[in-house]
Amino acid sequence: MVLTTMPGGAVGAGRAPAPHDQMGLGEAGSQALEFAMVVPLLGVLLGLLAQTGLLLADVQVVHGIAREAGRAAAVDGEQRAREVVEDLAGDRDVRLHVDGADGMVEARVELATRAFSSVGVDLWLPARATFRREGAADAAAW
Amino acid sequence: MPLRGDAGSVALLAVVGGGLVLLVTLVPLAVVADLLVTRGRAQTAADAAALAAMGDAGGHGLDGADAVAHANGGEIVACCGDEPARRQVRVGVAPASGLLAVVVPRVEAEAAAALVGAGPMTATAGGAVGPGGRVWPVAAPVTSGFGMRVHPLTGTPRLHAGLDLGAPTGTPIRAAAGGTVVFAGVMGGYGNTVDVGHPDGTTTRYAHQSRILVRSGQQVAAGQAIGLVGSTGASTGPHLHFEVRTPTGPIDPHSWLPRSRGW
Repeated sequence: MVLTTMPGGAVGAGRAPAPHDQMGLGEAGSQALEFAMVVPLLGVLLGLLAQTGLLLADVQVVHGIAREAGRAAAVDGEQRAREVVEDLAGDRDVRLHVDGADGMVEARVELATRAFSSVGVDLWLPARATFRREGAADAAAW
Repeated sequence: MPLRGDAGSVALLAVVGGGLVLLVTLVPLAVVADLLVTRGRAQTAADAAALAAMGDAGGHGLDGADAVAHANGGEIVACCGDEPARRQVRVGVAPASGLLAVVVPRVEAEAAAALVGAGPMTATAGGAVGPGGRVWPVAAPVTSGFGMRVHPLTGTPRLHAGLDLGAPTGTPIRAAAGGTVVFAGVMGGYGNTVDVGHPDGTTTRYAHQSRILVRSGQQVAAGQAIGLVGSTGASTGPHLHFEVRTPTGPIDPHSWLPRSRGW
């Protein structure tokens, strides 16, 4: 291995050379070591940020699904709400519970988020929407 | 083993620094998450309240919109505008966490809805024949009327330029009046669409069809089947989107079609 003189090298500057200087590593060597230590931490931070982004996006998605499900349940009944939820959720796991009382219809939706699933965490995001019954749903047996 | 000298300082620095890093990353993330959740709840409350207010205008009393807003965790801030056929509602929702409440005490959202005929979801097309031999294209309930509404896919208020008639896939669609097919094919978000030009200068549009039964240039009579109900294009379920277009723009089909029994 050929070692070259590093910038700021202290050899011959009037003091005893440090062990890493004797090996020819100098400041660049310690910088490389620090970099190697920091890179995994940065990777973890970036991963956390990406997963958090997915989580926040799914928060918005589940609210949109609940809104559409509530409206569909209020207009066309629970069966239609289930169809709407399945359409909007695509291949994602989703749960729907519909309740009706006092002329209102409440749709509660839970969506399995993709966030943090790669590390084995199983998260279900909840959202709910309440609409007043309309039209055909008035006659539905709730 | 107690840390002394440089090692102790470094450890202390690492703990304090790590804590600070967590603080400045986790706190904003928690605030943003709460903001998104609260905004979603506010939008839901506004949509539901606007639709309820539309029903209130049909004679249910204005308490309905309040009740729906409260059921969604919100409170009506402003309602309902000067136009009796259009309800615009602003709803505020308090954040779930105290952190966000310090910055934003109340998250607000707005929605609008339009009144249809005698009230939402009550109009039923009965196939009555009106002036000029016009007929309703499908015997089905009106599930969304002409006017400003919250778009079901984009979630934003925009003009709904026609009527939505909810009917099962495969239900025959009839030409509302005699005329010439001026377009038959796929038209963006309208999906499979047929446009029929009429002698009075209007054009009727029949969108989201599962199947088109006519060709461009073909003459059609009032009541003739021109396609089948479907859910193609930007649609959340099977229905016919029916528009009446004059040279100056779309008009409410209710004013053009025959009034059915009970209107």
